[in-house]
Amino acid sequence: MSLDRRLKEGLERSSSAIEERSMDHALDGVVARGRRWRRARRVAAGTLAVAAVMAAVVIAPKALDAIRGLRESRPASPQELLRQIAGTYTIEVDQSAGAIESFEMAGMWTVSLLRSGEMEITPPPAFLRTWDQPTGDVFTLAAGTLRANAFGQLCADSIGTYMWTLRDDRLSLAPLTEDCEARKALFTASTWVRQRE
Amino acid sequence: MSSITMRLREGTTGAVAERDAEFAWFFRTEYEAVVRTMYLIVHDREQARDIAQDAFVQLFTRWRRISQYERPEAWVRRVGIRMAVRAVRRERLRPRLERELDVASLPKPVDVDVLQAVRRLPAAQRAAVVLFYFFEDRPVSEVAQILSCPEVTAKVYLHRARKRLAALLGERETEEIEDVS
Repeated sequence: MSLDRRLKEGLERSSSAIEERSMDHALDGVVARGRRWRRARRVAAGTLAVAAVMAAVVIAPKALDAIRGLRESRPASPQELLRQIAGTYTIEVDQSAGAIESFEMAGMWTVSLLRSGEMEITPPPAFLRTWDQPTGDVFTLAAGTLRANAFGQLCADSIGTYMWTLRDDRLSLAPLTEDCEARKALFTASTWVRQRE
Repeated sequence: MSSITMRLREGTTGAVAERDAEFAWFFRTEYEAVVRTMYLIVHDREQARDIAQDAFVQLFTRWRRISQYERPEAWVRRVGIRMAVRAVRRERLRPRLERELDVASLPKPVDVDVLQAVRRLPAAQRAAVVLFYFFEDRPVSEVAQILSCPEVTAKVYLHRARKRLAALLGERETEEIEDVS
């Protein structure tokens, strides 16, 4: 007998050593285990989905805050600062003592801060009756500070430095170094209100 | 009567019932052949049944997809054979005395010599021999596919196995392996 035939017949005969006792019993066992496995997989998938949603709900806002915080904590470039502050502001200057009275500054002022760094000042008519239209005014920005040469003709080309804060279109200026009374009077008379374009 | 049959008779409706019925039919057609194949590899009846059932459980959980295959029976055999080969490898780590074949418990007309000789082969060679000689005379290319190895590797397994079996059984190797495809 050849090896191939011996193996074929031997394996065929030997496989009969195992007789399945109950096909139905085996089938039920397989189906029951399969269903349990499927259920477990579904439960696991559901748990994962819930966990993912919870993570999104709990973690996402914190992550966004953190990202926002990172953005806010990064020092802004001069271009970014100019973009933030640019706009046309109105300043209501009340009649009062001191520089305002002596320079006849009372009334509504309009100041345009341009992205180019130019500052266009439109005084009230009373001011222009005595003084020239301010020209050639510029400003520069650094983190938290604004430097300007406004009213150069009244203040011998001096430059004033102010701390600035802008919130909800309202610009506040607080003097750090300033020799020019007229400029100080205008910049600090009231909060500058940015006009909507 | 099996509970799955009962459920079907009780009128479980729709696609699920149809799939269950298809699976039950497939199981009845293929299960015994898979158990026998597993037995020829692991040489332990209970372990062969366990492995076959594990393979069918895996098939059941993926039945919707696997039933679309051209030959779902090849898939379940492949899964079963991989499990059986792993089981044999584990088994070979046990002390030899513990793993000797219990000849007395085998029913007639088992060819004990063939079983003992096959048992001395490494797991992959054992699986290759069973697939090639027992499992519907599968071509070497399919044996390789089921064993997840290149065809040339499957040929080497068969060549070495035949050489060893010829020596153990005192038979002559008459011809080289011919691919029956």
